[in-house]
Amino acid sequence: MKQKHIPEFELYILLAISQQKGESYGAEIRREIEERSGRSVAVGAIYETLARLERKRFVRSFESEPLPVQGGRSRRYFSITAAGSQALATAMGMLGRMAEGLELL
Amino acid sequence: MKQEPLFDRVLIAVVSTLTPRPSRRYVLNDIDDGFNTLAESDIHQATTWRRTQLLRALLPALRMRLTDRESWTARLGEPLGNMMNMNGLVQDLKFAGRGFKRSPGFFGIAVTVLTIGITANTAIFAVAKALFLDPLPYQEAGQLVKLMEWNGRQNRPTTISPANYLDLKSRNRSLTDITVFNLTFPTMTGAGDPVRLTGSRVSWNFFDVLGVLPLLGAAFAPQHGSPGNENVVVLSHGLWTSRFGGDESVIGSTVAVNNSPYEVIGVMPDTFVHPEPVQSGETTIWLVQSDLETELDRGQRYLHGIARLKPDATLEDAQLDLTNLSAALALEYPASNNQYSAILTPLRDDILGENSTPLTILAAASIALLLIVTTNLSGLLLTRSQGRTREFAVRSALGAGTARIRRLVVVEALSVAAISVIASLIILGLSANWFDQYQATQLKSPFSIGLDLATIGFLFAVAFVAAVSFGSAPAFLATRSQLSASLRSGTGGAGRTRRAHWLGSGLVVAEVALASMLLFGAMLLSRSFQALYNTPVGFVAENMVTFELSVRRETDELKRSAYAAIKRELKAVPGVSAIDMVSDLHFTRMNSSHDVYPEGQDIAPEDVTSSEFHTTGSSDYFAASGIELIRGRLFDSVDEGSRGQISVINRSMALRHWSATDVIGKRYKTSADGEDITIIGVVEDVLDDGYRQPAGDRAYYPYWNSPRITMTMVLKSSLPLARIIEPVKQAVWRVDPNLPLAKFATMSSVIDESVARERLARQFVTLFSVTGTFLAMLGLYGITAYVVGQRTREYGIRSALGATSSTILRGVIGSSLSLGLAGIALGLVLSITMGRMLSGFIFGVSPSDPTSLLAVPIVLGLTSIFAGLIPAIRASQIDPVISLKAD
Repeated sequence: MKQKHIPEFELYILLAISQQKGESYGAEIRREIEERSGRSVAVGAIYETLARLERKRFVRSFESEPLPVQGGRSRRYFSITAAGSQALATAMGMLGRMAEGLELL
Repeated sequence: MKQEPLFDRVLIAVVSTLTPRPSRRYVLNDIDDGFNTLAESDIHQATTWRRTQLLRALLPALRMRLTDRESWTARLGEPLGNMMNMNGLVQDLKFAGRGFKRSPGFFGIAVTVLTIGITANTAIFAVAKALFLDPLPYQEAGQLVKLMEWNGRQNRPTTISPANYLDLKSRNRSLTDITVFNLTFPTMTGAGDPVRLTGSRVSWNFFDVLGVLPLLGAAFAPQHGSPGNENVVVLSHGLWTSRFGGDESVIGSTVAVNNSPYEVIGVMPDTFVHPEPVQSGETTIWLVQSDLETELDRGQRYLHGIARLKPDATLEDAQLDLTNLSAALALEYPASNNQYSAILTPLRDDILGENSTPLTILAAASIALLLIVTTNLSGLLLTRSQGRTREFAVRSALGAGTARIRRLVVVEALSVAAISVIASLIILGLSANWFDQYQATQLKSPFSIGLDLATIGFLFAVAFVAAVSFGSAPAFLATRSQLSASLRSGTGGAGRTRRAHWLGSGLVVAEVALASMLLFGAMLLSRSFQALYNTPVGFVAENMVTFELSVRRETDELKRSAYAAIKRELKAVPGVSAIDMVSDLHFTRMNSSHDVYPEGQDIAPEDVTSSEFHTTGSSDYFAASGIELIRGRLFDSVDEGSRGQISVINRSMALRHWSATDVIGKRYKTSADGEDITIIGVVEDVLDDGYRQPAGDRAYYPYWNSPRITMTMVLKSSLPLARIIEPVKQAVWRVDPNLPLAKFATMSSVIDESVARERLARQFVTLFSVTGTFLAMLGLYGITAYVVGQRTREYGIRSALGATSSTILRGVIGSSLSLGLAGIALGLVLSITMGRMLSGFIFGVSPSDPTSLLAVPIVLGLTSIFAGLIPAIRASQIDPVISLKAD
């Protein structure tokens, strides 16, 4: 099967989830990307992309129990599927090969 | 937690509706959490962040909605979902979405055009709503009326005298209460730079009549209205925060007002605004009238009144009541009250003043623009649906019903509208600051302009109505025709094409007509504005800088010497070439007037005329402002020494009472038993109350005879205003560090401000008309290009039969031009109506100005030719071989 191309922002999100041991929720993902990339990220865009990744079956989601504090909200956790990890590995490998031998500043 | 601003609440509702269920809660929760975290350190930054996030969530939400087909059936259930054919709707939306991608140019133009139309309308609506519909910020504001007296001797409204006020207040039967106030400019010293404030001296019941409670402390009480207890002030929210840092302990503290101690007893809420005419400046401090009972001269009219109608009384009842009462007073006190009668006007009308005319013009212009936008889009969609005849035919052949194909077109129109609404909301949201600024700098009134629920509702409604109207014509045509015919022929069926062509042409004609009406309106307003600006004012405004200065001193002698010292200091400021002062500066609303009794002329009391007057520092004033001396001489140092009663008058006053040649040395009095004043010189007329008012009679008196507290300093300097302010302040403060300086401005900006309303109307109508003309050109181009496309074969054949390319070129341009001319002819009729509507507002041009009536057809005629040019060139270059081979 032909390898599906992963757009940049989807890649960011998959990497952010990976940074959280493969399981994370929206706000954490956004924080991760904002801190590492230094750019401001729209909440709406995060969830739109997560929905797209879920449709591609690169991530799956489940709802957590409400947090054990007053008025605690439940979170929707996203974890990377086997297909997601594979796609991420392929994409990163591609990036690595593209950059091979370059001295990037 | 603090309630979000309304704009944000609406945004939240929109985001929440758009985002499909699985993500909705999380998106909003995350934004909320982020806001709360940021709010701990910086609430302002947090609010901005939230608004940005909400705006940025709109497009993703829309995309999620479009791609998330499950959510429709999930929400409605399988059977219901199918019945509503929601999948079909989603398909339609996706179809529209694909259409966007396929022809981004078309949709880009459509969205831009519609966004312009609905944004303009919503903005005008927001202003109009605030001014005409929203209640004023007072309790039961509908019961409040402005009370003035009609001066039947000179046929103009006037303020009322304390004694008349007290009689009207106690003897009327239709009013709950009456309050009075007058403008005052108190000086506040101590705690920071001395400032001259704009204040109002009110009767003690002022806040009670308006029904507004102070934010802090108390309002005036009955005892404050009697002499000895009047040293109390109420502050505006603005003054409280800017001067006292919002410190609540200010209540009960003592401040220095006009060099006397006053106790601060109250602070008004942020929402309270003094009921003064729009654009007159913001009142920031209220003092109390304590001598109403002691002022017995009924001729001393200086109070503005506001009355509250009894709940069961109408304005007519109250007016009748007061008219009768005034008649009784006129019999009791004929000297002061004969021909004077109390008049009531709704408070809103009084505050609006002359501002309703430009707004009506703007509203009409924005509606015309929206009509152009709608017809334009209708034409665009029509042309586009024509191009898709074959596609519709295939769909129909594959089983799509008539309704389905119609819906396809309508959904396409609604999608354009939806995107435009979002774009418009974003534009309006970003210009919220502009609204605030406009409110603060231009309006300065009790009206509050903003994006509230009604305004946003209006935006949606306008967009929806526009979408339905521009979508329905093409939808109608998309299905009426013999679709099978188009399948066979490969081009549109003949009847269908003709019908579409007629409809399209009709739309374009309407567009051109509306555009020419707008263009005519813009021409009239521009020419009127030019005429205003070209009216000679009689003085030289260039390089003139003005500011106000109040000098309070025990005696006139001290005032004179203080002003002399100030003039000396100011003369020494580098870059200042001339300096003097004047009272009631030209082109401001400040005016003083007195009656004129020329010596040796017997005048009946009802024929006495009045003259406005100014006090000038010395003759330097005439030099500094470039006012020309026609006859006689100006004030000199001999006059200053002798203190004789002398005046310099203007040409109008000289011609009214004497003759232009024989006036020097004539004498007059300002009251029947006053002192004689000798005329020593005549100067040229100078405009004073804006461009529209004639110069009127005017007299100038030297300062040394009647020193005033507040004067406007006038100086000539070629330096920019910003560089002159600080040295001037320091120079004045070298004489006395407690002197307040106010209203630094160049004379040019003072004049500009007097025509702000005219400028605003002109700018907007010009903007609308240019947009309208551009859209009309686009419409003409669209229809011509479409026709050329339809007739490719015909042109091919004609050219094969020997038609030269210039024949074809002329033919195509001619068809564009003839549509344009039809529109122009219709537009001229509309223009006459437009001219009539503007007649009360324009100046120096006729409502059927021939220049404008001639220019509009020329501009639009050229536009029509230009619009036909590209399709014409294309038609003339058609290669017969290729065009005939095409099928």
